[in-house]
Amino acid sequence: MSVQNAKMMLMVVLMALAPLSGCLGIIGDGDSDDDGYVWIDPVTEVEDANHSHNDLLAHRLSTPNAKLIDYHNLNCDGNVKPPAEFDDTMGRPCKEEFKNVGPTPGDNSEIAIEGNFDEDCEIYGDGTGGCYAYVSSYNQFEILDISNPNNIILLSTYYAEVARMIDIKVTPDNNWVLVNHELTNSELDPIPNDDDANSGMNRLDVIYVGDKTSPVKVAEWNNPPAGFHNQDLHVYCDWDGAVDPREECSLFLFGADPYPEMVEGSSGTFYKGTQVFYVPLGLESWLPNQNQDQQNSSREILRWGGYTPEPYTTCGGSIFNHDNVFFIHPITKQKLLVVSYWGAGLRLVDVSDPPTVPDPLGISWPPEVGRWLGCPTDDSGWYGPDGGGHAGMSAEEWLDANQGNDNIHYAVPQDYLICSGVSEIDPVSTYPEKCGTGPSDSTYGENWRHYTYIAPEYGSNANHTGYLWTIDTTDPTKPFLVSKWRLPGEGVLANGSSHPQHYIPGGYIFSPHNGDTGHNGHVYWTHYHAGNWATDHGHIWDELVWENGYPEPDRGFQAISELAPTHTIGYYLPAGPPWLDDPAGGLGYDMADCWASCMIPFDWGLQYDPRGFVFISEMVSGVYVVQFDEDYDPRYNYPALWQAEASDD
Amino acid sequence: MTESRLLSRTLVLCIVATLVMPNALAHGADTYAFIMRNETVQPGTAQVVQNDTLVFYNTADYNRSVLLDVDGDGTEEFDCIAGPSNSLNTSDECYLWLDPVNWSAGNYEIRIISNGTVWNTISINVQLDNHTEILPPGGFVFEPEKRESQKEGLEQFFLSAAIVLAGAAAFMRISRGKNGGEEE
Repeated sequence: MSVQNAKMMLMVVLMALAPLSGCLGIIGDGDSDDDGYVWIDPVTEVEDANHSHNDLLAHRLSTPNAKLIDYHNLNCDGNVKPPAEFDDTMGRPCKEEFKNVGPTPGDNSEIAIEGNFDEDCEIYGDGTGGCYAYVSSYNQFEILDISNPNNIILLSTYYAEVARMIDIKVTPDNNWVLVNHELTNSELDPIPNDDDANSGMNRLDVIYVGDKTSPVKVAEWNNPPAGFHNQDLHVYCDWDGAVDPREECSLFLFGADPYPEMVEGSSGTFYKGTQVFYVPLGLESWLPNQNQDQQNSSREILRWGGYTPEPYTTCGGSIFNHDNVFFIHPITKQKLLVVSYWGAGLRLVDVSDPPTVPDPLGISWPPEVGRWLGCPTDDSGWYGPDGGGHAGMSAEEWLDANQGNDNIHYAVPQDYLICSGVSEIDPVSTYPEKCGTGPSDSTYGENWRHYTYIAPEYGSNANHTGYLWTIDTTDPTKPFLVSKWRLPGEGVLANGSSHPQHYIPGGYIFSPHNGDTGHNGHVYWTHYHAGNWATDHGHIWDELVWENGYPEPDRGFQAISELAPTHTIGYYLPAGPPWLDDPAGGLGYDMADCWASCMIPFDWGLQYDPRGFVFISEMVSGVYVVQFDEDYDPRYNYPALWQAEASDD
Repeated sequence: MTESRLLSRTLVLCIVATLVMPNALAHGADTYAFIMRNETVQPGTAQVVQNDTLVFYNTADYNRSVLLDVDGDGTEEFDCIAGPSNSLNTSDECYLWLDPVNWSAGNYEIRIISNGTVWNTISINVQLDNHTEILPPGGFVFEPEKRESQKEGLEQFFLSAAIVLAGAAAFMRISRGKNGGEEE
């Protein structure tokens, strides 16, 4: 065969195989051979004879660098609900033998993880230590021991009579879980009208999880009419405003309530969307061994502050609070909330110093210290038309979802400063030359950057799936855009023609949702039916093209002539355990009555384990532990065990 | 081609045509803000949906009037004064609820009067609120809605398709009726 003919034959073979790429992707799991890998776009907009969103196995796709380490379908004891006589303010222990057998309870949403990861989750002599994951699942939440990522164990399930648990958070000591019950659909999830004084689905509940096999609810508060969509918390020590001198540390809660923005001015309610609460006497006030009187007097939270963007700091549009995420800025040491405010973009709110006198209407606390959205939001200065704190868009362009803008739904900051792909927590010996000796280096310190990542959510979008925006927040008072990324590839329209990018025909199907960060610039984001994507932002500062040839962070976006690329690391689409040919049947996935549009994957949340693993909450099938090769750390060698077990079988 | 095949193909074509039509913008809050700054108004154009509430914020330190002649008869049915900028109450705001009973799909121009003269205008395109979600109080839905079942099969599919097509047809008819005179 001539060289010319061989080339032609190769092209013919490739063209013939291309339409079958989805089927070939079935062998993706565990196939670690990168050689010859041809990129497979896992996003298919149009359902036809060649594609069904409900075809689970057709979605068993991943890049070769993404490895499934473990999976749990969150079956506790063979029952999707506790026995009728069970107290619904308590959880029940689970049995290991029910891991990955049917039925699968499903309806999972957010996931939170906590523990001493840096010590490889060692359990100490006093019983403390270890690492745990908490998954909110509509009517219930689950607690898993994730100390061994390749052998995660479901410890208990807490079942509540009322739905919808959308979000879940846990204190750093792994003792207290905070869940919301958000009223988003009163017909499907009515507020119970029974006699147990259950206040329904506008609650914030605290559950004591000191005993991981027996979670106990210890406090609840109402936030009518719809409850919170998301919450976070922080413990402040040596705060002067504590109500009791014995209170060495004080607990504050941060609730995201979208409702005030919708009704302010017409209902007489002037509470703001971001609401801050002080919990007198803190965590100890909730101990479950108190008598009823003590509990009633202690289960109190006080509205201590509030925040909503001032209208003049926006470009108009739909403005409401979706998520609040707490972090401590690695340079300024400020305690900040990164807050997603839909059309009003990203807001950085300073909660460092709670006032000693409450400001329940949020007239002056907490203050905004920075913001980013695509359009100018001031007459002059950093946010003015000539400033660097926006992307030079008109209000109309920024508020145009069809261009991938607007609808900012989730924000997550880096925990650490990064420089050229290394983190400040990495050994100095690994720093590239341009990073000097670290962030305090007099010459190279400027190259250590802090980023916050934001992304929209769209129910439908005929033109785009939305951008993941990288915002430089090294100076939180001067945020500026440095990179943006979207799902790679082109879309296909219903008539078969190509579209410049993927889009969302409806049902949120490929929209970005929630994300998390690794320590060296890796970012992980769920995209519902498009699965989980890992991107590398570690070299953004190196790859920015500056107008004058050198970095000018004080001019921000105005000084940048070309944004830096965000590099795609890979993706993983959960689709049941690879060792089962029919996971939907074998594990009893509820494909007919599901919150997730009856398709797998539909990925809501994820969390990054600093040991190099991503914990993914898939809404129907459960929790997946995935490792990208780029995150492998030899100190934490947890190879997948299921492959060995499968080969034994 | 048999009649049934012709019908089914026509139906498929209609569904496809309907699906590729521009969607109403995704929005969650059911409110849409306009900022009347000192020099500009943001945004100057917007696509909104029936049942939305438009909020006009005045950031200037003097009154502005927001006027709208809904039916084009020369009389402004909506006439609201937004007072000087004030962060302590809502006197600097105007609200306009796009009641589906009174608002049809189409283009409208809002005039903003300052010191007795027309200072600026806002063009809005009102779209039909044709989504079929079951709404909680306040008409607010954040996340994918829980489906009861997909067992209804083809009957449900064709029923849904018929509803969607009827809605699309109504929308097109109203939209053409509204825009026809302007365009021609």
